[in-house]
Amino acid sequence: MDSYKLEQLTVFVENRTGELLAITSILEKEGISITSIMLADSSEFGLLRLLTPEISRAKEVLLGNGFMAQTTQVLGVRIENHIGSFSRVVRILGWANIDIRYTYTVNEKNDGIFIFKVDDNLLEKGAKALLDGGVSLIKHEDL
Amino acid sequence: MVLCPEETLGKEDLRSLQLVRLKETLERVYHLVPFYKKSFDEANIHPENIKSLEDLEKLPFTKKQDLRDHYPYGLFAVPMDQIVRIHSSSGTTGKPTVVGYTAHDMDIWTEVVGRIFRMGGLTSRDILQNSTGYGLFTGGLGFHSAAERMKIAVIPSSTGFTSRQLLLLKDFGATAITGTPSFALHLAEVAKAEGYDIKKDFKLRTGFFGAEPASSGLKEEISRVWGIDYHEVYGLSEIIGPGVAGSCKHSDWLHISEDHFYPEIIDPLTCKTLPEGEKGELVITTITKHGLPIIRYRTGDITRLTRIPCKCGRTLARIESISGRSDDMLVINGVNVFPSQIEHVLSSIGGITLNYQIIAKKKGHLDKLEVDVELDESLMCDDVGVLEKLKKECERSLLNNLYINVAIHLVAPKSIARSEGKAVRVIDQRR
Repeated sequence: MDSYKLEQLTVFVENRTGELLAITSILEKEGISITSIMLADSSEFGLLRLLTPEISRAKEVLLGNGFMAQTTQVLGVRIENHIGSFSRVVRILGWANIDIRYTYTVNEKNDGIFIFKVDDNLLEKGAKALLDGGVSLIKHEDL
Repeated sequence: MVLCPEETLGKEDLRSLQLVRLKETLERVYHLVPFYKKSFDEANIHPENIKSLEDLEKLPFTKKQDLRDHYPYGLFAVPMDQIVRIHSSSGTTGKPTVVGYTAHDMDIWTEVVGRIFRMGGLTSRDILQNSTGYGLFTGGLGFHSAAERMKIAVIPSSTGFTSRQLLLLKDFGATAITGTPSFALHLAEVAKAEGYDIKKDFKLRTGFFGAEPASSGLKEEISRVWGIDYHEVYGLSEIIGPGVAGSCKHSDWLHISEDHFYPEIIDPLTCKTLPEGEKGELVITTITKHGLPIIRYRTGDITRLTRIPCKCGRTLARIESISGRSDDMLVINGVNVFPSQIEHVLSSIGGITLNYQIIAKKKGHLDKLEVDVELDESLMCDDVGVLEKLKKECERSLLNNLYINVAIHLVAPKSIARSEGKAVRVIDQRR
């Protein structure tokens, strides 16, 4: 199941002008491409979630520039472009009593990739439930 | 019209009264409080060596830390069965400072506060809205007891709840009010916003304000918007609470009840007594209190002292409105806070570092305290909820321990500006 665990980078972002630009500029300068990006915010601060092919280098350069960054494990599923396909995934996880902490998408030409965060101790169970339900889980190299 | 004959004593009569009371107090503390016996012995001074008021200079100072070191009752000079009231303020190391009053001390307290109410012309016909914090803080109950003793009707409205305060003020017909100057202005602002006609809807004619520094501009502004006389009240719990000094209508300097609280002004650096009129730190010796007599207490407040006669006829010395502090204490909406207290509270919370910055701001007329705290890298996590919980925990802990509302901002590690490697701890943007 381990091969289905995707690594995502979470970066702490202060609610301050120019903060996001500071992060993206660093990655740009280092030539690190961003596959997907999602900003979760509270009124005070945000958490930026990134998918990138060069996860450990991205983490290193951000830490080196004084940012707080951490890798997190998530699941990714490929979803066909028709009504109900996303619902199906959510339903499978629901049946398995697995809460989705958050979700975001990676854009592809036709299909969509949805990234799911579930509690760390439920990752294996979630991956198995999805596979059993016939959902196509993606691996790091598929991104 | 003064409340007590001591307020108009001639200079020599006052000095001899002070000397008698001082000698009696020194005898008492020397024999009843081990701390004073030890500190006098170490300074090689016996109470018998104090033969004049000037000799007081030979005695060592008492500091806030001494109260903490003898937490809770170590500096009390009477057995607990004689204590009728205990008050306390927040402490630095989690331990608060504790003060105790005998029935005799309560009489003194109500008397000295009463003197200031009398300066404002209050009589039994007045209704006082006591918008000062009740509870462990000496403010609310100090005013309350004195007003009650003078048969003034007291509305114990305490602090906050601005709209309700305005409703009470109008419907109960208060003629006088107490509180912090910033709250008085805030109250006026909300009154306007809520459609009150300040001069018509309220019967206020006088106010007693203190617990935080106020410029003369601010005092005039309060006087003007409310159409009231402004009386400033000075006090600190270690001495007695509010009522140590207060201003009459002839001057904005404050008459200090020096027949109870003997004042000196010292240079806070050299600790030498300064001549009359020079600016320095106020040091007070209580010369009548029984429960917690205190010798040469370093108030930390910067002021001047004058004995130039006042038009009101009182001969008591006057101190100028407090112009600053000799230490880093902050006054936030009337509550005293030391940065070290904030640090102590934060140090008990996991997940944050002790790299913090305290920012005092004005929001409207009220003080607002913000603390930026750098997160601990080990606490970095992918869950917004965890970080929000941490922020709430910091805020709740500061409120519970220091009685102040603080807005916590979690910031990234090493993001707080450092000067020469050291973070700048306090930024006061109020001035």
